[in-house]
Amino acid sequence: MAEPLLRVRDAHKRFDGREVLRGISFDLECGAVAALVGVSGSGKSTVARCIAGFDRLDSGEILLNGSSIAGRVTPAIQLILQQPAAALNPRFTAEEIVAEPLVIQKRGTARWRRERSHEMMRRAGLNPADSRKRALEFSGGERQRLAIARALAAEPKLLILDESFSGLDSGVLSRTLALIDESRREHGTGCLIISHYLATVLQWAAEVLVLDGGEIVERGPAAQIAADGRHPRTRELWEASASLALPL
Amino acid sequence: MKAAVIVLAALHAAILLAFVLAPYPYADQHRDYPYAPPSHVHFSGARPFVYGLAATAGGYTEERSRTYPVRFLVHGRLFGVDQPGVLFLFGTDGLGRDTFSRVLYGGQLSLLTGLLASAVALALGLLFGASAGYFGGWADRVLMRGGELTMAVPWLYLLLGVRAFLPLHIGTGETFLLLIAIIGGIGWFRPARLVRGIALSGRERPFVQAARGFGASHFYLLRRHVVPLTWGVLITQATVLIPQFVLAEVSLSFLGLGIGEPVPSWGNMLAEGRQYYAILEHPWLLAPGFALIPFLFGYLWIADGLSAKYRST
Amino acid sequence: MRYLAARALHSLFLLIGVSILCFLFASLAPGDFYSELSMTPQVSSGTISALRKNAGEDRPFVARYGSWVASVARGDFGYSLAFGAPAGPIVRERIGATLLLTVTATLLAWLIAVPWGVWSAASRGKWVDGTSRVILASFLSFPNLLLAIVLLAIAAQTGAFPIGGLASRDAASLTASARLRDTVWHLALPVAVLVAGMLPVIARHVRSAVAEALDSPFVLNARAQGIPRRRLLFRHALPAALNPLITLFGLSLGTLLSASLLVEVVVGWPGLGPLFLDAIMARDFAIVLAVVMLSTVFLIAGNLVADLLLYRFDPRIRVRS
Repeated sequence: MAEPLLRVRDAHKRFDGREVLRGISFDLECGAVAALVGVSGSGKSTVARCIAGFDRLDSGEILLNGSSIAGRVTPAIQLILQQPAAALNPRFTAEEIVAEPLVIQKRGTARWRRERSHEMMRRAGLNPADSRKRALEFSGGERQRLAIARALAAEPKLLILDESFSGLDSGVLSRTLALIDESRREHGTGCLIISHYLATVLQWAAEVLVLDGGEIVERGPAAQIAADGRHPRTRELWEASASLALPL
Repeated sequence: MKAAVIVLAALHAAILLAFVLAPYPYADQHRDYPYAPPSHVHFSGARPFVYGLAATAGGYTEERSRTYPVRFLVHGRLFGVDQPGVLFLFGTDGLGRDTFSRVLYGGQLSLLTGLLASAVALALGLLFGASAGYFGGWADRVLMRGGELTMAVPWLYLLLGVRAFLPLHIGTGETFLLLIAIIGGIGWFRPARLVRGIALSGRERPFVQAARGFGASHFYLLRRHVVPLTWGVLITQATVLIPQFVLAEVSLSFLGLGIGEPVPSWGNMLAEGRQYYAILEHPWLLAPGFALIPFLFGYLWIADGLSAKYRST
Repeated sequence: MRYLAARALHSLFLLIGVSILCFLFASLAPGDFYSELSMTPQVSSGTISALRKNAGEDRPFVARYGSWVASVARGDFGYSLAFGAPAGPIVRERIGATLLLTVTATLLAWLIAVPWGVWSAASRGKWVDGTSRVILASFLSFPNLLLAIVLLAIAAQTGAFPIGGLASRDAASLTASARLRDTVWHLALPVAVLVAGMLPVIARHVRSAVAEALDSPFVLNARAQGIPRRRLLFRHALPAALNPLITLFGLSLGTLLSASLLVEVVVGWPGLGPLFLDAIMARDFAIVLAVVMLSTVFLIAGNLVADLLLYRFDPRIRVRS
């Protein structure tokens, strides 16, 4: 593929007079996994929101498969937040939640949607027999998986995970990642992981971008960053998370 | 609280079944028995009966020589006595009309006015409040300003003022609809503001944003996510508005601006109370006023229970 | 100070808006003072239109509104067609009686309700609180209208209180203290009815606000520190409960002119109530408008007072604005 899946060019954004993004640029290929790491306030969540269309850039471009999507929300890009419970309507049943993107896009019959919903639940490690239960009856980790199952049911081209891994145990984590991996292989879904756990994402992302104060201060293949990260910020993040690195 | 709901529902059912429960039609006049006191129901074993009623110089006495058993399921009504016996459970008014029956029929009118006016107010409140809160912009500003203007005038004065400047001499059916329109039309601003608040914050909820991310239309978001958030407020408002609107009808009819003769409503029946000497001699004429009490109490109890429930969520 | 000015200006605009709407509504309404006349066959439509023209009722909206505003500035508040005199003085004459009634009742209601509410909040969960709640609910469920009629009938029967009126016939010849006693005697019944209606509303609000404050984390924290109950109640919980109570107080002030309408009519108290009702029946627009505007002024003023008090006493409001 000539055109990268996602292209961000010279993104600038101010919040309350403070410059949060100072000219971010990067590419993401189809089916690739990249990680954006940095401390709180480095601008990584802002990048995520702008790409997903929930915020507008002050200047710069965001291209999905070559066409600009700046400021527009599109089902092709799915954003999964840190607190997935809030992103699920507590009164909806699990089935309704996972099938919602299909309902909105008016795909298939009610029956087909129900089956697909059960399928996604199964893949996410949830019991389809629980599909009639309301969201608030599930545990935090299960709700996380419901949110991801829902996002993947929409067959997005790009999945953004914003700090979505904190608070998950390793079993859930590996299952979630396997689910995303499947989608990557089957549909070429690209994945952008936003995190401050450098050690964790190194195990899974192909490319790592280190963000500090709204700029990308270091970038490169994961292995190189791990072995040879130069920037002081990179070293900090590495030291902070190495002790917490979760085995995969 | 469940008990209150059941009792209240039963009371409403009783009123709505007036045409079965009332021994007499509301316009029936018993010319021989004006201002008759409530009938004494006696029992021989388990069977209820009344004595004949005779008019005397000072009032009425029972004629023990004539007995009339209370019959059930007769003439299409639940209970009654055969002529020339009379069964006035709450006595009669100046025209000899059975107060008990008129309380039942009057309750129908007063309660229905309150219920329908509340339905109108809540429907309008939901429609405009949700739109204003969700879409914002000028629609929201107009709603807020309009609400402020309406709520700046004391409610009863607003109601009377509006009623007064509309045609006064119209038929009962038209008056009924007019009252519902006015009471509901004035009373929808408060629920609208509450709904607006919920729609405003509901719009920002992450699951609404997520659905937007899937490409959902505004209509879908409103229908599936935002409006269901308002059910709690709407139910609580209903328990507050219904009694308030019933009292509005009662006040209007009492003052002569609502339902008029011969159709009874609790309001116009109470208007007899404007002559206190009539009440002194015939206290049973106040029955429609006292009939209001269990309804008001029931709604109040439920409203309290609901607001406690929603406060803790 | 700027906040005060901004709110006052806003209230003024609100008042003007209400007056325009009222005027507009009355203009659009199908009936007016002379409509009743048209029901009489002897009066020709020519006479009626002549009468209208004479009263200036056929001028365009803006002209009529303009002359009304000028009339308000003079204190006349328009011309009452039923009384054949400016509406202002007629209304002003009656305000005193209404205020006497409502101020007394409001004061009394607050004086009883606040301690009642605080006490029941402090003893929430115990059976006395449950009983108190039932009593207050019963008061609330007893329609004001019914209570007025019942008490009036009882008063007529027992002669304990006078029926109607502000003062006895020979009031002018009484000494000042006797006149005071006479007024109180006349006030007793309508005040009792009004208090019975206001008391439960205030008491329940007080209870709810204080109970919520008592259950709030910072009060529980204070309790854990061993602060004695009375100090807890008055120094910690009550100030926190002030916010909704101030709003309610503003509403009490705001309804000083409007709360007693029905009671005045039933009891025969010579206040704004009967005047308003008669004006409505006669479609005497000037008096109706004057009464509505005055009671609106009170309501808006009441809310303004509440806003200012909140601004003064609730630090959160100051931060927000």
